Amino acid sequence: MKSTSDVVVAEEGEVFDIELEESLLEANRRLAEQNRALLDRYGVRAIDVMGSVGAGKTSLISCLVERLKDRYRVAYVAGDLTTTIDADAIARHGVPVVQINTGKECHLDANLVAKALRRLDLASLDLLFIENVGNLICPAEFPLGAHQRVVVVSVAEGPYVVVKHPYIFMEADLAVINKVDLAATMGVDVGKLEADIRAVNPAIEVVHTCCRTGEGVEDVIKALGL
Amino acid sequence: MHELTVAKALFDLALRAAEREGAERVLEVRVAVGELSLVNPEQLAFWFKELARGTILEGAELVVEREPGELECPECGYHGRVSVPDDPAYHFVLPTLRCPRCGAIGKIARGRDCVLRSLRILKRQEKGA
Repeated sequence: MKSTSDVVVAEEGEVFDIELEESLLEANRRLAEQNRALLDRYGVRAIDVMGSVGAGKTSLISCLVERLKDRYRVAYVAGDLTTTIDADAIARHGVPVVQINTGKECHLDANLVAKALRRLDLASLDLLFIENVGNLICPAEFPLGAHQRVVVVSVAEGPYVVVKHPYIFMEADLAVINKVDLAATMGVDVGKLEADIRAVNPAIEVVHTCCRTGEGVEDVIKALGL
Repeated sequence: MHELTVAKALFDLALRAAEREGAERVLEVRVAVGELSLVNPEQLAFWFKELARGTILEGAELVVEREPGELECPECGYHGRVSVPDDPAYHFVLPTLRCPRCGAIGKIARGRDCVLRSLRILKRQEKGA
């Protein structure tokens, strides 16, 4: 047997093939299941909010927290690269907030969420919003253990946002089309966006909102069963 | 960018397995990347090389196999490869997930994961008693 090694001259029997068949995404899935079990033990419902940068994830969560904080004990986990802008926006509602700065990572993963959960008093919570990093691609690959996954898209992202990123809609329970007041200006057909979403995932709920005015937020609450 | 996360998982799994087997060096790492996973093999290889630096994985050849994407159709029972529709929007991003036979929404049966298949390692033989 010939080896390219310049350290050791490989003799017969020195090179071994090791069969493994280990999934690289499995570790995250396992941690996500642990997060879910922990949340269930404390009776906390977690909602993972995903979407592009600027789609309106924080605005939507802010609207939801404002309307729900008297009915549920709410907390918020914010994933952001480096800033606390989102965390500060939600903290104004007087609910517990944990900021996860992912540094250079483009998504939250189950391990980061597990760390955030350790910093919350789960026994005194009913509802947890987890805001993912602004991104329509990577979060689809990394379940966090949340009970529901919401994708926020805005008409400002143009007419192809759904067809170009189908996976994230396959993984979601609810799609929120935000900034519908800008649809005419943007030349985007909201009905077509909704049809694109349903084509990818016929079981998904779709709600139209304008989070700046609060339009449609009650429909989101209903769609989430809250 | 999530290739860094996947590459780190690959590096950790490979290093642990290599150490468990008493490897002196790793010559080859074989992975299967699903066609329907969102992992780019080229970026994965780049990050893996960066992570491997200064470890027994440095210089190992990363062999990336493509695991074909397959769909299972709940409507007509089709089970097989996914077709790519004649829509430019799909060609530069992702294949559709519709059954090529009846057009219903298919379920991904294969090609969504990323798997460390095997390692080829170099082991120094113990000399003497």
